[in-house]
Amino acid sequence: MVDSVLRIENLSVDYEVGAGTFHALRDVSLEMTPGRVAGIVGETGCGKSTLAHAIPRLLREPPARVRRGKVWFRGIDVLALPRWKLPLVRGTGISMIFQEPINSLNPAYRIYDQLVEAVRIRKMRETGKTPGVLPSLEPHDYSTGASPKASEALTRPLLPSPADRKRLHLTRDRDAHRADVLEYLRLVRINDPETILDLYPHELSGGMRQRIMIAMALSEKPSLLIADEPTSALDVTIQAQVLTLMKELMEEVRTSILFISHDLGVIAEMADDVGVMYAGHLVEFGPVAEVYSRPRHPYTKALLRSVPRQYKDDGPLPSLPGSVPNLSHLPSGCTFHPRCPLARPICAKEPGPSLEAAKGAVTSGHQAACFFSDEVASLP
Amino acid sequence: MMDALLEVRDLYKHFPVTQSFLEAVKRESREVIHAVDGVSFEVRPGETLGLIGESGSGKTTLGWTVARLHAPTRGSIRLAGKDITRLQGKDLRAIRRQIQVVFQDPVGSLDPRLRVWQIVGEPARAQEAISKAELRARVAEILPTVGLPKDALDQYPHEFSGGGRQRLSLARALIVHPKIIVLDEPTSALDVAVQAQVLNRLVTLQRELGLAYLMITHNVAAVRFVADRVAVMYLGKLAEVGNVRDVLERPVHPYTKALLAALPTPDPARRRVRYRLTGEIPTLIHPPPGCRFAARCPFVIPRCIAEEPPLRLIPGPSDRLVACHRAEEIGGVKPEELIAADAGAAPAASGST
Repeated sequence: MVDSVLRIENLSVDYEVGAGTFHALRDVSLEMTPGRVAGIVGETGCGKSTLAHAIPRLLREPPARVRRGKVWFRGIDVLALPRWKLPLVRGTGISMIFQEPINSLNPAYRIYDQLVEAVRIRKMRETGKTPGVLPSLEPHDYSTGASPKASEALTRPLLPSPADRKRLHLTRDRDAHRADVLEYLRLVRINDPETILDLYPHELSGGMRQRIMIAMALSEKPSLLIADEPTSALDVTIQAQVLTLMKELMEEVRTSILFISHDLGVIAEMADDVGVMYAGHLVEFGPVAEVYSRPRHPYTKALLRSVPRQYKDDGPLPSLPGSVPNLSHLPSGCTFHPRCPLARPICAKEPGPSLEAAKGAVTSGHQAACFFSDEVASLP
Repeated sequence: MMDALLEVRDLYKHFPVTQSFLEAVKRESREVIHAVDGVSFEVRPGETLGLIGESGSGKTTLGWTVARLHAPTRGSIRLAGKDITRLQGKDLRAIRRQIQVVFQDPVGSLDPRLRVWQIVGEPARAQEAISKAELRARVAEILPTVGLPKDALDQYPHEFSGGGRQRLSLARALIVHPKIIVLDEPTSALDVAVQAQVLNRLVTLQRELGLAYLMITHNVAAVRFVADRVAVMYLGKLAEVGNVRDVLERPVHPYTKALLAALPTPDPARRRVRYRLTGEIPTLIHPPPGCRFAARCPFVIPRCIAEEPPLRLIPGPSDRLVACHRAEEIGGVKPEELIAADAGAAPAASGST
């Protein structure tokens, strides 16, 4: 059995704002095997972005508050780390790609300066000049056994010695890492990378900016890449190009990816495993082909059915009645029971069903949080 | 042939790009954005024309110009037989009884300080003198038709969910009983489950009230369900127009094929290995000469770069307009063939060049 790169245990996150307490995540547990792509899909407000931000602790606290739970990243208890140690985990450990690339690139710096920062930090960590979580030495082959423990990296001093700083960090040699930066730009299939280097983010198109973000995230060689709706701001033809690129890079770089999207089609395209979220709960998790073809939670089934694929004269679209519950006043028991066609008295009782091996599932990895997961197949 | 409700002929909309302060003051500029560049189409009574395109294709500008929210640069727009291209003032306001717009952003297009009856009733008040009690009664009457409760009259927009706000916009458009509604990305801000509810509502309303829609969207799935005919727009021009089933199942124009091939399908068994279309959308300030899609087209021949293809009728089972020199040759190429299993495979028709 290989060690998981990420293990989340019963993570619960609340937002405390004037209007009340919003339970954005409730008891989410998830385990990611190295080298696999886990997709998270759900509607707006289901907590998928909160989950993405909670892992590298990017949530703004307050209003967010981690009520309970643990996030284990390669043996490091991320939630227990003091704040000043967090940068050591981010970057070369956990890297992120966000939805709007224009918001994540600094408008005042040229592309080169933004990319070189990532490359420089990785090099400093690799040479041991500064501490930080590094990817395991053999990122290509996780199957051989346990990945090296990353926790030791955190015990080294934070700052490099003055001599090293002079040599590495504060060198004014702007072109020290030029070759590296160019290599990553070529990796993300940017033609003519030399000219791109001197441009500012606003001079690039959306698809181009997202490629720069991907290059930046990958140049850190992270053990875990979290992609939060990376193509939602792009047009379909550009999205298809970026997804193709990410898929090709997945084979080359072989990092573990947590891929978050509201688009069932994008997840089907990218993920090996998929988790479906509803109102802060992970309601179903399993291999993507399995979950899409034989869903074991009534919500997953309803979500898959509501994708429009018919013409007007084929009759009305099947739609799910009701709306997503208010996260500050969640229904008791299973949060889906007021809209669920399978609901029975037990579903409204506290506590709701927990994520467990789905009844009647073909593969062992298929889990669902439903008391009647064996009956979902008979739903229309 | 039924008379067209909305007839657009050779419509142009250019926006000036001011480059210096002096130019801005003198209100002259050398460069323009060719947002809509010679577009002709018609919408018949009671039908939906879906207008698909990516961002920057000029589809929203086209919708706004048709509803006369922009003044057209050139061309003509006829609504129910009347030329509305150059209307102004009172006459312009009068046509809003017949054509209404539902805007893309359900948050930005609803005034947060107004109550539901004020928001929904505003178009009616702009058209005629009407008492507050009567206006409230009319709003209360229209709310159930879009699936909102009658007693929502005194609520504020923030009390509604995304789907609820989009219904409010729809109710606001319906209050003057228009003949045609321009739907600008009606569901792009909504989740799939809510989107299904709104799309069903749009279709029911159309059947009950005999409305025509001009539906502008990048969402092919939504167009498939709502539209009778579909027009595909690329860089300010129409690439292909035809019956919705025909266009989506047997696309002729290479861009339509590329667009359909790019759609991610929620079926893990049909994973694409590689998407072949490269390049990005060119700028509308200097649109390329010849065919606008030539730079990205997998079927490009020298003629495409030299000569602009006109939108012409392609013989076939139904009326189909396509702007492509090679429409007849490449008509049979399926969108799936633009998704290659390996990098070396060439598209089927390119062998004949």
